[in-house]
Amino acid sequence: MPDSWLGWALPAALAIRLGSAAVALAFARRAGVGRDIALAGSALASLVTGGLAASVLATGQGPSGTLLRHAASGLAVGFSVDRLSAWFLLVLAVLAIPVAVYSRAYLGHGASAGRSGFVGVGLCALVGAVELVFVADGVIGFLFAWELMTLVTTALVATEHERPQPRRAALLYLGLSHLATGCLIAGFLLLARRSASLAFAQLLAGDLLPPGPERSGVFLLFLAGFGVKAGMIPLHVWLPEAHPAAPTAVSALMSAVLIKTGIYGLYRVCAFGLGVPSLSWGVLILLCGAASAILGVLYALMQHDIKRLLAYHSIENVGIILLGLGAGMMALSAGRGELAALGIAASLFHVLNHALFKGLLFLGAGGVVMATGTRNIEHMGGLIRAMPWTALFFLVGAASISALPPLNGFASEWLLFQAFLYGFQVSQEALVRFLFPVAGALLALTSALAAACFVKAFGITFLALPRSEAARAAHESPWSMLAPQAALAAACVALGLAPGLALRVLGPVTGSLPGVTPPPGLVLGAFVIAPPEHFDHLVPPLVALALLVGLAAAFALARVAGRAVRLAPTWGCGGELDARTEYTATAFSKPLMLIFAAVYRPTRKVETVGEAHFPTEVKYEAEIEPTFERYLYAPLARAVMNAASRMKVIQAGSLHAYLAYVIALVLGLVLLLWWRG
Amino acid sequence: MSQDLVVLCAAGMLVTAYLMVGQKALFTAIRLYAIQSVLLGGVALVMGLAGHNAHLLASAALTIGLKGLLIPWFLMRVIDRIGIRREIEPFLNVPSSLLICLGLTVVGYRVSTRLADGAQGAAHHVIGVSLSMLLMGLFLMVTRRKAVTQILALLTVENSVFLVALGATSGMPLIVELGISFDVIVAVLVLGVLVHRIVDRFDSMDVSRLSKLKG
Repeated sequence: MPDSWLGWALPAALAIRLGSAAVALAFARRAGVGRDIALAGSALASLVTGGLAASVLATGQGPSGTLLRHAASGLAVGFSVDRLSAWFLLVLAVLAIPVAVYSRAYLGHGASAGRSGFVGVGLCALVGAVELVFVADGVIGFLFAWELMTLVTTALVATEHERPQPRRAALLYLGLSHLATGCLIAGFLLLARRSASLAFAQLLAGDLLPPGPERSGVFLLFLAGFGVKAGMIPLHVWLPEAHPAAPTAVSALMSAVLIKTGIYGLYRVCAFGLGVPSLSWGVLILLCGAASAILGVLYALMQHDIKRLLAYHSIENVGIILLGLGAGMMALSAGRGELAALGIAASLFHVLNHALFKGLLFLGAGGVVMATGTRNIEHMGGLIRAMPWTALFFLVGAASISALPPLNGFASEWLLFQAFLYGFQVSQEALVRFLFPVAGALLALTSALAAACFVKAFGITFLALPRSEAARAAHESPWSMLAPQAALAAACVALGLAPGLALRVLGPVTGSLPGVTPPPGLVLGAFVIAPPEHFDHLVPPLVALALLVGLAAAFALARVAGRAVRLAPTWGCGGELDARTEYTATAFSKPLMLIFAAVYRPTRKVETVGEAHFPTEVKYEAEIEPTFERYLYAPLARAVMNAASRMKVIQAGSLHAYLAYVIALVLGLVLLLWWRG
Repeated sequence: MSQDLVVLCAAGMLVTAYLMVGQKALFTAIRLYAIQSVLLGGVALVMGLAGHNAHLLASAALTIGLKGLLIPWFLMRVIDRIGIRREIEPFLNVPSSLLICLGLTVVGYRVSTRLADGAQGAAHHVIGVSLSMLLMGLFLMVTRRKAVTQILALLTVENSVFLVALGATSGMPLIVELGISFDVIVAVLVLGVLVHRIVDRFDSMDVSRLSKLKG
């Protein structure tokens, strides 16, 4: 019976996870065995949930059930999978399986190989916790899964806890997550005051709070709570610290899936759980999205640590996802269901696309880091000869994140552009008519800057001559690490050529959200994307064909009209050309640093040793100002520390003082009884 | 008749509490606690006999055996071992302590009339006494320095809570009483060990020196 299969799939997946994690922990002393068991269990469980998600998306029949029941208090933790949950579950499964395969070889190398058993168990638990977040049907289960996810992530970030940087990153993540969860609990409690039940079905029905300041306050609490997890600017500071600190396989999961839990929360609660959103909410999310997108990519441009660079790109892509959501919410507030469907479909499509290409890029970066032993791209170079496959897959991911056709990043961003243009055309409100084109322009700028950034990342890492001994000695990753990358790269190409495959699934997903009416013409076929009223069409295979024809023509022209090719060394002005004369990443990004000096506010330090005009040595240091850290978080941290040191007076360390507090409280209560009685 | 006996026992407990506040010799304080516990057992015994309540009789036996004999014996052994017999100068001298305790008794009695509906007659006195003892026990903890005195104060508070239960609802279910008794034994054992440790570490039983542990 298909029904019973669906109902049991999720508990079965959880049981597989728990079982394999327990067995793996029993083998923790032998890291290799424990790691393999945990990863195999994780992959198997993801296969089950992936199948479940696909089935729900295909039929719309979502299973629900109870996982735990506490008889005395009547508390039950249950799950229910609707189309929105299923979409996020699918994204998770699509990424978790390649990461599990990849991790087997990846975790087995390097300094922390000895604890790879624990990292494997952590990965397994992290994916399980994220699954629970996506399917929770009530506040208790949701918050439990949410906190489990936070704790496991913190532990994974601190995998290399001998070094101070991962410890700092883990603490920062934990602190901000605490703040976020506090906001969420406050928001849920405010909602629960109006509801008899903590189940999402009642709590998020959207009719608890009438429009007004209280509802907006609750919205802001949830926005802050989920925004931290999503890495939305200005709540992003943990992200560029935590992502590079974790083992790369974990970074891939964090970037591709973990931050999507924040997006999921924004969808579930902020956009569709509090009733018809106000226009101002949509505007706020749109602005946060625009800031995240543009600032994320600008900061990414200045990074030379490849994982940090990718982490900032996660912020950028979350910004793009939020742009779609914000546009959708603004449309919802005006009652334009079709426009909302367009923005939300673009946003949800980008959730999948970002998971695919960012996962791919992180896995590629992991191979590069493993081969060279450094994360600084200035010490790489020339890797394309030693690692041709990694280079190819990384190039696919880089082109995709830069929104180049005919890859999947282009498909979703194009859809988002269409949403902005179409919205501009059909809306009458001045604010919308002003904001949509501006957001579209910012999106275009973001994509262009992302392309510039990945020209740098790919060029400096893979092209030219090796810049260090390690880069010269690099070798290709084993096939078990290349196969997952190949699969993800193939998915990027496939979804780029046939976006209709995803959009056909997304149509009903958007349709299941209240107030959204997907236009009938959204999907004309697997290979065409078209907004309503035949506003504009795109046939990605034709674009690809045009590109191919162009390339072939250029090649043929060069062959026919050009002269014979002659190989000769590059002219080096009489000097020798070696790795030190190459273009560096710093130099590549320097013009952009000067153009956007208003954002970066760069400081530079030049020291010359020797005579003024004939120095023997020149030292150059450039630094950009960490605006958010310095002007937002540093004063906040100082204020908290000051308050804490003032509060320390109460904590005298004297037993008698503490006892006196107790008696004062008891006496106060007794006197209250007297006075009230 | 039984009501008068109950009130008499409760009043006796209050007297022992006052004597404890005025006492500096640790051995005497422990004996006072033993007497107080026996009186508490007496309250339970009288109420059990008057109400033909078998489980109150059991809890009376438990109280007398455990708090009247076992715990005092253990505490005396602790004091014997560490050889500290007297409470040094308390934070507050004895006369003013007694005055404050008088005030606490007034508060306790006054509040007891405002509690539940049934707090009349004997119950009124019992609850009044126990609330006063509760406050006095806490007060004793704050003003004394020796760890053993603090243990005694804690046990006094525990006795008073027991007395409230007797006065308000004629005793808790036996299983709860057994649980609490077990808790008390464990607490006293742990605290006894802790006192040894404090003396070892600081050469004194003065808990105000614990503030040195603060970072």
